Amino acid sequence: MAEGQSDTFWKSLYIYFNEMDFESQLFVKRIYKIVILTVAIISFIIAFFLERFSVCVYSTIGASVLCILVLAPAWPMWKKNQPNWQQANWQKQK
Amino acid sequence: MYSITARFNQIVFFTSWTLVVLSLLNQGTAYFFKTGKPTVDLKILSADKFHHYKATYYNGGVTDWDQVTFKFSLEADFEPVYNWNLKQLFLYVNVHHEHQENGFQSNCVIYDKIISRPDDPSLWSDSSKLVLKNQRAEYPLKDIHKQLRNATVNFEVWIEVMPYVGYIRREKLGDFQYKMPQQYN
Repeated sequence: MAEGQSDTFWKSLYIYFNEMDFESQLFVKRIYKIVILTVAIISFIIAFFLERFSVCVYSTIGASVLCILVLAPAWPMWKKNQPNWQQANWQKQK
Repeated sequence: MYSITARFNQIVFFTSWTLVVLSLLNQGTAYFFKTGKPTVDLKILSADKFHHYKATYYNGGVTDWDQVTFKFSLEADFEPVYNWNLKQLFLYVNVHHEHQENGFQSNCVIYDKIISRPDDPSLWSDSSKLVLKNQRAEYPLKDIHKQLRNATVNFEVWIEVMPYVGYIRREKLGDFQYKMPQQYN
């Protein structure tokens, strides 16, 4: 982005939800697999004894939708450990 | 994990993979459930409109055949085949007869029906019982060699088992013999 330009509202909203800390990226990467696998295994066992496979499928898809809503956008809870950026220096070196 | 689309992509496709694995487990564990043989009873009530038919083509040619429409009653119980992997059953009644003179064999389907399995197991005993009283066959039995008088035909009740995941297989449930009338009626 060249100096002097400013973002529109939608682009800055996208950038806000896009940027996430490195620490929370590691956390998100580990936790979505654990959550979806746990829900899938437990609901499969429950559905086996009830003899209804739709229970298993709907609960797995519901868990994945919940994960997408909580883990994919960069909410403020995922922005707590910002790295220390250097000061921006717009003057060209001579 | 560095952008919102990357995170969304990883979660969606991981979910798809788990659903594939769960479907394969669904198909694999269906064999542990009861898979017995259903009971069926077929009675042929009448053979109607047993005539010698003739038709003329638009170009002048003539063809003739024997045709008969059956009426039957069928009672069946499919509870032994129901498991959580079954989507629907396709029931059809097949007529098999061997010609007296030439030894030709012919098959003709005269009735078919689709039976879906409801998702709730408490409804299985209601929907798995099939009772047809005085049912007219959908398709007539035709014989172009005109050998149906006084013939012994064989009514076979077949079932096609269609699962959610897995192979489709066909089973013959029963054989019922019937002697056709001597003359046209």
